[in-house]
Amino acid sequence: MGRLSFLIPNSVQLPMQTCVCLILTGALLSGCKMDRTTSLSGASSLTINQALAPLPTSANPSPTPSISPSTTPSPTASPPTSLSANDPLFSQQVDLFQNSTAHIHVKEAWALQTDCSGVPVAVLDSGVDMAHPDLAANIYTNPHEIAGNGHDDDSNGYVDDVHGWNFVASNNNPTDDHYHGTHVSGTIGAIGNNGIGIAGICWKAQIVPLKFLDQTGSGLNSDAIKAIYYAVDLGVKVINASFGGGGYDAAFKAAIDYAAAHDVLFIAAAGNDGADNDATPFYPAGYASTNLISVASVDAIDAISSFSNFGATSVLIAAPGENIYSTTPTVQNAGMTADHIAASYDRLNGTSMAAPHIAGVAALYKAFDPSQTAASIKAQILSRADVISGLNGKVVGSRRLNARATLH
Amino acid sequence: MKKNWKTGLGFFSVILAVFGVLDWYGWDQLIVSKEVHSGLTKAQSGLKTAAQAPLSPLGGGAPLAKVSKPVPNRGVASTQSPNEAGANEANSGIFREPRIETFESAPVVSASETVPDQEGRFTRVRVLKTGMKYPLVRVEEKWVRDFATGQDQVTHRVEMIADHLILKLDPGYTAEDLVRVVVPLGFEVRATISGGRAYLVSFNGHEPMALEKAAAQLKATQGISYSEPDYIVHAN
Repeated sequence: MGRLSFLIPNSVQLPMQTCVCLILTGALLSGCKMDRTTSLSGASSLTINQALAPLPTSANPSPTPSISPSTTPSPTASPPTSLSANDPLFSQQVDLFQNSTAHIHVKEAWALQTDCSGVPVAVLDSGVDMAHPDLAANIYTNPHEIAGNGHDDDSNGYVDDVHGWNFVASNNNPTDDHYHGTHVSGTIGAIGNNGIGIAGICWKAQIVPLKFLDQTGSGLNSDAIKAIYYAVDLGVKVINASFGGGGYDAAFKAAIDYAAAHDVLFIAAAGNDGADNDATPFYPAGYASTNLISVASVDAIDAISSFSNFGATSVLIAAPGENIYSTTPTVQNAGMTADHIAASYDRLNGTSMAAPHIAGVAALYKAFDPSQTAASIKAQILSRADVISGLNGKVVGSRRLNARATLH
Repeated sequence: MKKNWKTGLGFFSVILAVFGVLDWYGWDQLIVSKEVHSGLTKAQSGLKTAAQAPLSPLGGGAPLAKVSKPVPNRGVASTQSPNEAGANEANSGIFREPRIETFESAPVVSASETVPDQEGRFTRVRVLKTGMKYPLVRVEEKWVRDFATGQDQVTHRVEMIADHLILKLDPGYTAEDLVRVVVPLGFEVRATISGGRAYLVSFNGHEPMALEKAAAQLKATQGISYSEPDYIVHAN
């Protein structure tokens, strides 16, 4: 003890009772791990190896991610019950991460499916930053168009629509000059387990950027209608619509019904006015179309968000929509500066953020079981949702998304 | 010796308690942050050289000035720059909803207002010149006046393009039929939507009631299934 005396100041003396209490406290806290994933490794959802995953370099921009023990089962081990992502910012995605009460069990769903690349998802929004390192590989590429030749190779009425379309400017560049569409797209399909940034609900995806909202986040119903027809004719299976306003529009309803007739799901945000959609419909979430799922927002403890519209008979499900960490454009633009949005990744609130959780799980389920139709996917999402008593009177059936149960 | 072993036990107890707290809270909360920052910084430096140029501003009028309602801060404001806030992935405590464009600074082309009824309800219609792709925007607001205080409060608001309507033809009618029917009435076919599934039909929309008059005219025209406003929607 004499050799170590320099570590222990002579002035530090504790009563025996205090020492025992501290020892017991330390042992108790170390053994009491709340809400941790049960995986083969027995580790927390982000292991040290995952956090210290190899960084991308110019020589190796997509390094092979570290393999956690939970992804390399021994021949005699049971299949993993959950799958974690090695993305270093994954721990910030409290909507997907373990520690919130509003647990939508995405990691358990990932044990069954992570790849949605066979299910194109259209994002009707302000565009997408297609160069974002956490999105680029998950952006849809039209196989029937030859880039830059100035011809409408697939004869769909749009020239060189290689990666979606810009309906504001009527050109083939749907780059996000706001931030909203990039954020929504990240929740759906940020590249997962690539050692970069965050993970989307779909680790691999095909996001079709359809820009109809301008740099202020505003757009026209007529452009949204064009985008819906474009998306359906392109062959998407899910459309995410995190926008709203205006009144009933028969032409818009007809477009959504066209999507229904072609087996396409339409996911619509319920609105951010804190209003009762049963009393005053909010559109397009308020259209009574068979393929439409209207989505409210809940917070980390499964309470309806204060800003979220609701509807005991018209809003079909809730999903996390507060403090949602996702991708943003990597180059700061005027809208981001005005709204104090950070480049590359940031948090946002809104039913806009809740809707893409549903869209991502819908794509995940379709990829898991390609035989499922839009109607059966909608039914599965709704019937397998968790019933949350606090949502009584706010959402039909008091439902909140459960990703794992949807795929089971 | 006795004093030393008690002192050592005390020190050991404190260490064990600290370890226990860290183990319960999560080691990754400490270890990840530094690695994340360096990793993201490296990723960002590569990105900035490859980023696409932003779209050029919309044409059609003066730049759109953005005046939006204040965004409630629900936590401690971050003092970091936006790039630092993103790169450091720290929870700044600012919870934001996308702001909604309200066109409050757009020049007013024309306006009209009804007289408040017995309950104080009245309607205000304004035509504004904005920076949207079709610059004329009609803002229709329903208000309630508190006669006791003289305060007015808006209860409902919709925005739409002021000088065109979305129009659908009856089955069997073609685009040529549309032109033949609407042009003599003073309309023009501004755009075709998705191969003729609908059309944008334009008119002189500078006056507040021009849109309602145009809709009534088209409603009475044979071959037209319906015509309705082209509403403006917002990210939410």
